[in-house]
Amino acid sequence: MRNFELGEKDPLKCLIRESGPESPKAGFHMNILNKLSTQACAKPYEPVISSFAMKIIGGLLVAFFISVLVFVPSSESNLSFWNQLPQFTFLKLNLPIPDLPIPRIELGPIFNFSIAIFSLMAFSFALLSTRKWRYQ
Amino acid sequence: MRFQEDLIYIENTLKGDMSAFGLLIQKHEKYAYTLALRIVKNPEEAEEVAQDAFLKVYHSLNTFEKKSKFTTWLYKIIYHEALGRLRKSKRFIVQLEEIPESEEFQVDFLDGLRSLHLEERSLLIRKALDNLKPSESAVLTLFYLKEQTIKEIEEITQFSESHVKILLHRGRKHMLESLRKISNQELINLL
Repeated sequence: MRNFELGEKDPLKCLIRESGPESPKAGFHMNILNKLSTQACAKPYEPVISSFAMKIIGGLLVAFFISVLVFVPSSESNLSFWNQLPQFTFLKLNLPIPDLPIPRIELGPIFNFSIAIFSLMAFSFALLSTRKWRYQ
Repeated sequence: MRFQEDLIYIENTLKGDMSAFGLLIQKHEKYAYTLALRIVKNPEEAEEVAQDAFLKVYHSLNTFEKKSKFTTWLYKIIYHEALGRLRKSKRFIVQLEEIPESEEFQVDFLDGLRSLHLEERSLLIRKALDNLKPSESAVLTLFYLKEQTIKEIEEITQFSESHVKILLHRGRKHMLESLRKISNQELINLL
């Protein structure tokens, strides 16, 4: 066991050192760097429009389609499907409710239209902000 | 090409400088590849082992604690990566018969080797190393070629000190026997 404690005088050490290290093929380090760059780029597929957003869009389209079928008449002389439905009369409940003086707000069509537009813009802004944060 | 200290490359790599990692690879690729080759005994597989080891190094570079030398950490990854590859392939290992060790015979024989040309001698040494068991050739390479200490080899191989010394002793013995066989064969071929 003392052979490997000979230090520089060890003939086997001299021979092994003399033979030196062996070289890999040229471009060895570039292969590794290329592998690393492809690994960094290989992210799982994520659609631009998420499945949740697609569901909302689909729901809006279906709602629009149904509303057109139900509320829009086929021609000017016809009634819409909604208007063709028989009139239901709900039973009036005669409950002894005290007559409270609740104030009523008279909302005009311009105000209602503004509220609708504001809600639509707020919804769009919220949706876009959520998507922006997710990709940051 | 003059290289800088490993720690400079490591810090720059951790900052996102890929060219620093490229230089770190270039600095150590030869010894990393040689160690892998001594274990798996196949140039293509050795390249794959060394490449996979460097990829592992890159991905866990932030966990390198700098308590030991970078090379010790790198060789540990290469050693275990190569052994893992061997276990998967269940490679047949050349076994050499045990021979009684004789100092006189070794010295005469090694003197004869010195009379050969450098290239021939290097070729014989590499062939002899290829005939050794993977753990023996790895330990001899680390100890003689890379001049790692017994303590560092213990850390790389996770063997005890006595085990490393036994591997060195057996490796030497088998190496000399293998050299004798190979050089006899070469002489027969020449004649």
